Amino acid sequence: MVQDVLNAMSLASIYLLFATGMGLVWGTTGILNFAHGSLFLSSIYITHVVAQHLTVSIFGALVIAMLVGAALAVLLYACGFGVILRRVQDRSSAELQLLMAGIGFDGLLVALIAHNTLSEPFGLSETTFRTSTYEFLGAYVTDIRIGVILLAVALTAAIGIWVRKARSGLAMRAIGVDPETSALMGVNRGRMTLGVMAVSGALGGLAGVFLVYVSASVVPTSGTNLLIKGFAIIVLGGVGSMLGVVVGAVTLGVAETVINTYTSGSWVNAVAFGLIFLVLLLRPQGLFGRTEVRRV
Amino acid sequence: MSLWYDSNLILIQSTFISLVFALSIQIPVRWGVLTFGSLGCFAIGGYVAGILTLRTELPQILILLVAVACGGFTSLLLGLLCARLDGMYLAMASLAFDLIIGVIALNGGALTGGVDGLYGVVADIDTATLAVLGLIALAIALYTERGRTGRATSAVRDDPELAVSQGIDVRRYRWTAFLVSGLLAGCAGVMYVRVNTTITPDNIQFGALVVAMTMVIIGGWKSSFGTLAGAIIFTWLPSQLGPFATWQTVIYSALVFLAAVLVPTGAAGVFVTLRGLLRSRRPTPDVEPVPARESAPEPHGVPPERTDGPLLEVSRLAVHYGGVKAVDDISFTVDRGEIFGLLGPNGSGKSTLLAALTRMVQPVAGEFRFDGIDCTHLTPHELGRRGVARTFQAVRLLDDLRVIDNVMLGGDRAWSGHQRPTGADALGALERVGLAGTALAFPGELSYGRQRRVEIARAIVGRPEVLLLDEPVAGMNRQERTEIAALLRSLRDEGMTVVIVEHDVELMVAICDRLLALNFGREITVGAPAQVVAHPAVIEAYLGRQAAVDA
Repeated sequence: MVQDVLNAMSLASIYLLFATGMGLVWGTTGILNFAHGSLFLSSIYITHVVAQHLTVSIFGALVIAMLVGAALAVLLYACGFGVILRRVQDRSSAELQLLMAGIGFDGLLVALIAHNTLSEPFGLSETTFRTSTYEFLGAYVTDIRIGVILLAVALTAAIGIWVRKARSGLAMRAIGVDPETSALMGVNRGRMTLGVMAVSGALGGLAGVFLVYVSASVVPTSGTNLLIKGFAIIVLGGVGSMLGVVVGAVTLGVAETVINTYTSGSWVNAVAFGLIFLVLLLRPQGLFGRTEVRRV
Repeated sequence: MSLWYDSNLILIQSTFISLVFALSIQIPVRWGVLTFGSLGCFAIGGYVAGILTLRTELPQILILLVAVACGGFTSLLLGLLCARLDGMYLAMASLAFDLIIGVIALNGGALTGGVDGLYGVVADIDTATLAVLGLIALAIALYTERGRTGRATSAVRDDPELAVSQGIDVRRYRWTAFLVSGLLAGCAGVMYVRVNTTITPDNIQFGALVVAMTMVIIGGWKSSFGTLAGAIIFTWLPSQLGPFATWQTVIYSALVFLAAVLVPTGAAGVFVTLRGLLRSRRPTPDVEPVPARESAPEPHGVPPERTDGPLLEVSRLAVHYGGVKAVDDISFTVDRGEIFGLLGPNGSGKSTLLAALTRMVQPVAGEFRFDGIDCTHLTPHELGRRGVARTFQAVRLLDDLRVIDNVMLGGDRAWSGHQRPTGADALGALERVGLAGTALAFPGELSYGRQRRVEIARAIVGRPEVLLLDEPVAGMNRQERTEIAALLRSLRDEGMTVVIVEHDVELMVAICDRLLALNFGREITVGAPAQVVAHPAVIEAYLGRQAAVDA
């Protein structure tokens, strides 16, 4: 039992890191970044390649992954999303273009990695870090699982407080509500958005390194599955709510652990996908989301 | 020829499969329904056909029909699950649906063959059958892109609220989009399993969707011929790549990204732009303003049977937004063949009243009768079909359609009389608003004032019983205003009833038979224009208390 709880919590923490970054961008810019899964995958891959040539510790791996994730996210916004938003007039055709740009960027990174790895699984066994296992209340737990839980809780709390309390956090929420008015109020929208993208990519990189240390390896298609899980988590919690992301991540982590424990593993991905429909049918605005008020 | 045919048989057959599958994505997207459920329906079609072929002795044509029907049914189910979703939410939810189908195929045990999938499905299909199926799909796509259906789908995609006001049942189009997409995707699945004799979970991965989307996006998602071009190019390209074949997915993804950012309308869009540039070198068609005609050449159609009594009766109508009483207890009647004006300062409830009369907002109390029939609970599109036409406060024209098509949209579903208005009627309506010669222009090429007149042409082309105009002359110069006033008078003289909301008091006094003055959602006074504008409470509402005293 304690073992299951620990497993569920560490899984939830990885989901939390991934979905927080995705939700941050969605909540502030209104963009559902379809390429978020490939940012995650690319940071693992680049770290993997660097570790083949240099001696990389776990901290080195985390830093490299965060930098790669942030850089790719900024690149994606500067060459993709930003250009589309500047050029397009109406929101509905922007949605198709944003989605397609995300899918294209995602496909490009995933295909490059698949081409280089011949679609074989890869991991971070080249880094110097080796997990140690401890016994805790009759359950076995690795230090990396404890680490990811602590880090996810600390980072999420920090981001939550920043968004609520800090001036720049307020500015960020403001561009989510009304980009034009906030620009008139002196918020540097372009720089703010790039910043949010960078944070989001860095969180994706963090999630990537921890996922690989916990589960040993990933394959090029891991990103798309994780993307849908991130979507499920955000939808469950409600777009724009940090608390919602936490509750969504924990729910999915627990649900998947239960399914993994009591059934053969191959149904586990269906949980997240089914959850999406359940939420959208019963409570489309999510657990903690606001219902949008539309004017005539 | 036959040698070429034999050695390229697989590619030729694959082209038709790609075409059908790509169209199953293009059609809903072109209708504004961003669903990617095609992949799941493709899998359903393929697996159902495979299983039935392996396990039963049913005739092939029956298997085809059953599998296609399963695809359509699944898609409708998805539409039901996603009934409240739009845009990116719908895209992601439908993607989740695709992945669920993939998980089911993987876990289907002996029925679906698990990881290995189905194999040894006896190939019993000739190229001619594939070609026929491909052409049917293309015909469906082209039919929904042109004429009356094409105009309706453009409206449903770009401005659903406008579509509703033109009598289009938006929800029905949404269901149809899901159904057609599912049927085509299911059909593509059957074609796939027949040609390849196998279908496995690998074939229904997200990557298959990306390839099909490449065809749609690069070819141009607004044009079915564009999608056809995309299907041909991206089916044949891999065999031409030679040593770069392993880079196929990389190249496709890069192209999708670049197209989405730089040329969102794809090859078809570029083609249209180039053609437009070539045309513009030739002498341009006459787009000079022609003065509005004072009277119609001849009213088209026969006026419907008239009943006695007022045409529009509003009684105790109220619309509240939260605690704000935007319209509060308003009653009035409008007689046949009169111009009835609604006057009031900003925020007095005029536009909300108009919105309630077109069923865009739900009144909390009261009712209104149109031609003696209670219309308070009709859906907006039903109201649009009963001869209530309107224009909007802000211009709402469809940028993708030419002016003539924008006008014809107004008569496609909503018309009085016995006959649907034709292109000639639309030209006539344009001539009446003084825009003869602009029929082939796109709305974006016209000035604001002219765009407003196109809206009026769209509203009158179906000869509505009543015309609701929301600030029709805003943004027009004095000359244009005079012309519109003359046009409205001549419409009235032909028997049309006009309800007009406008800030130009001078114009209102000049053209209206009666005025209703509103403030804070309540009636101030109603009556002849001269009396209404001289009413102290009206002057106070417009100019303040002191002005009212001075007057």
